[in-house]
Amino acid sequence: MFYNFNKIEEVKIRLRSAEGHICEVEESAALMSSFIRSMIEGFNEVTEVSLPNINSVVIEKVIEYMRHYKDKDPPIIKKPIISSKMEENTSAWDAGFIDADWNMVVDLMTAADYLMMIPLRDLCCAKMACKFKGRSIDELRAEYHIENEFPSEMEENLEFQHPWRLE
Amino acid sequence: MKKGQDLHQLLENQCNLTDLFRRELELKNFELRKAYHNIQLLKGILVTIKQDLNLKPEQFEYLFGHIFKEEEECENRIANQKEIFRENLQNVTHSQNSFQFWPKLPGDVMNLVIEFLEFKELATLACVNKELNAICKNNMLWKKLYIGRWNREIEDENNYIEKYAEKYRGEMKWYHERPVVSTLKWHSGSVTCIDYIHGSNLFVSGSDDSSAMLWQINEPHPQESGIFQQHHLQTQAVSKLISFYGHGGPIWCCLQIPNFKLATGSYDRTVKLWNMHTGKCESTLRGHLEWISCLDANEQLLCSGSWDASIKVWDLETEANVQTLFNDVGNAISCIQLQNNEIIAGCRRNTINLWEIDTGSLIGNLVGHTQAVNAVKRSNFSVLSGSADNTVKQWDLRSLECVNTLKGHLSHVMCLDYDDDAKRVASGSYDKSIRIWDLRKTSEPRQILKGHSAAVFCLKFDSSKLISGSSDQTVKIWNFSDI
Repeated sequence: MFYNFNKIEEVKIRLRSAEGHICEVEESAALMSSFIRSMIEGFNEVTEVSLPNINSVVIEKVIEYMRHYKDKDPPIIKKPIISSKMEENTSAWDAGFIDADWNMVVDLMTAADYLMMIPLRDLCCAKMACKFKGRSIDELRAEYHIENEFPSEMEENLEFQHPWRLE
Repeated sequence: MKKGQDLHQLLENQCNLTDLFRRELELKNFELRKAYHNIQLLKGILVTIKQDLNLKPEQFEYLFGHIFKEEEECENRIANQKEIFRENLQNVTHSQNSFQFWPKLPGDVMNLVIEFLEFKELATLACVNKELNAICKNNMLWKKLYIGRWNREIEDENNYIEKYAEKYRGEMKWYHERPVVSTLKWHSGSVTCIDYIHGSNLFVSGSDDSSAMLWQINEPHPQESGIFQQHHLQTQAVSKLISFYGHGGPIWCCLQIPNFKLATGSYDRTVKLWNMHTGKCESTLRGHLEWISCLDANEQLLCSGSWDASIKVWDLETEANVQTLFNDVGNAISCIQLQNNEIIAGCRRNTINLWEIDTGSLIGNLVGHTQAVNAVKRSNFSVLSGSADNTVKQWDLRSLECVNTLKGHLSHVMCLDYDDDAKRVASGSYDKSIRIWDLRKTSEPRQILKGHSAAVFCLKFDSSKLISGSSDQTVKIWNFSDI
């Protein structure tokens, strides 16, 4: 059986974004996504995967992550997170990577969920959780323009149900 | 996921639209204002030149009337605009309210996010609004938190959040509330030992006046609540049932054993078994060459540790000595605990030894204390020890290594006790204080109970109260139940 030993270039997987752009990524990096892995393993010789609900900016970002963790395992983020700063929760590279605006994090998170990349999804979730870490009720309400829906007597009841303010 | 994205897109579009609309309105408003301003200017000029023009009012009206009409119309339009503008602004801010960020995260995403939060942040989020409240009350999540905190499950699967709050509140009581103290001054010597069975209302105290006493804790009188310190010879809350006299020397240790019996170990080198109904001594176990320092028992076996550096194991039914474990000569045993087939013992020469009863062999020792070990407690693989080097150490029996060191006591630690979850620890010391520690946060004691006027020799606690005995000859009951 013939095998091409001169084949130097790795197989590239072509990812088609929502806009129809093609982004190329090395197969070994792309296998990090269970979704792409199942596509490749399920259908032989598949080199193009269509991702109709992820736009190209997000795909670029995902590919950046894939390439960085091609040969190593991403660090595991502890639950619960320790601090509201990502640098203290995970590695410096991860913290820098996820230091994007809110919409980007949400898009990245939905993309990671779709592509079944658990470490990336956890990273995004941790980033979102940082927004709530160490905030008081009033701060959260002010920040997200939430009106107090609870009548005052019910609020007392809530306080009683959650006696955590003590610690 | 797709639904979430659509929603996101929709809201964003809407927001952009309202933004655009507002800007347009602002622009229109600006133009109108400019026109109005011009008309006003023109009107002013007209009024001043009216006299110079030398015209009849009808003529003036005819020539320039439309300008005044225009002014009126302009005013109306501006008022109208303002109204529209205000309405729209309200709409815009309203849509921004709901847009800001919550709806962009579908519920299942939120569930993933809140897994990264601690219970305190979850509780805070739950108070923010109804939607978040519903998300944060996820039973599975609280189950995880419950098991993570207390390392156990509860039977009622659906109620983890309430159980968590209840247990948490109970725990915080110990760290933040002041207890009601009852002082019992009945012994005429140092109180050296106390035994209290969790959940019962009876406890036993032994003293170096060679007596032991059985006490009953009565239900508090409803009117009595609210009194902070109760200092009587004997409070109404506790009554003495029986005194046990018979030892020929100070009692160092006492223990309630099955069949409503009491075991006491004494300076007279004997262990006596008493009937707690009658107060009579039923048998005396002889064999040790020095005084008895500690006792422990399970359903069948009674172990006694002695200053002669040996541990004797007695069969409770036949009262025969079934096993003797010898420590190095001179390395006296100061405290023991029996669990399964193993005995863990704190020794005078700084180590904690672990024996297997059946074979009588030493299977491990924990080295780390720099002074005699005075107290030892075990809960599965976790061991706690208090020592004369002023520290309490926590050990892991699997690795035989020290996990935590609790520093804070100013003098020898004489006694300690664990709660059922092995998370809360109380230690008594020669510095007259009792310190309560949380093993999750070991840097400092969570509560310091002061009140004894001399060294604290023994203590026991359960979920609501702590009983301590001291060389000031008193027993104190620190009651943490709802004040």
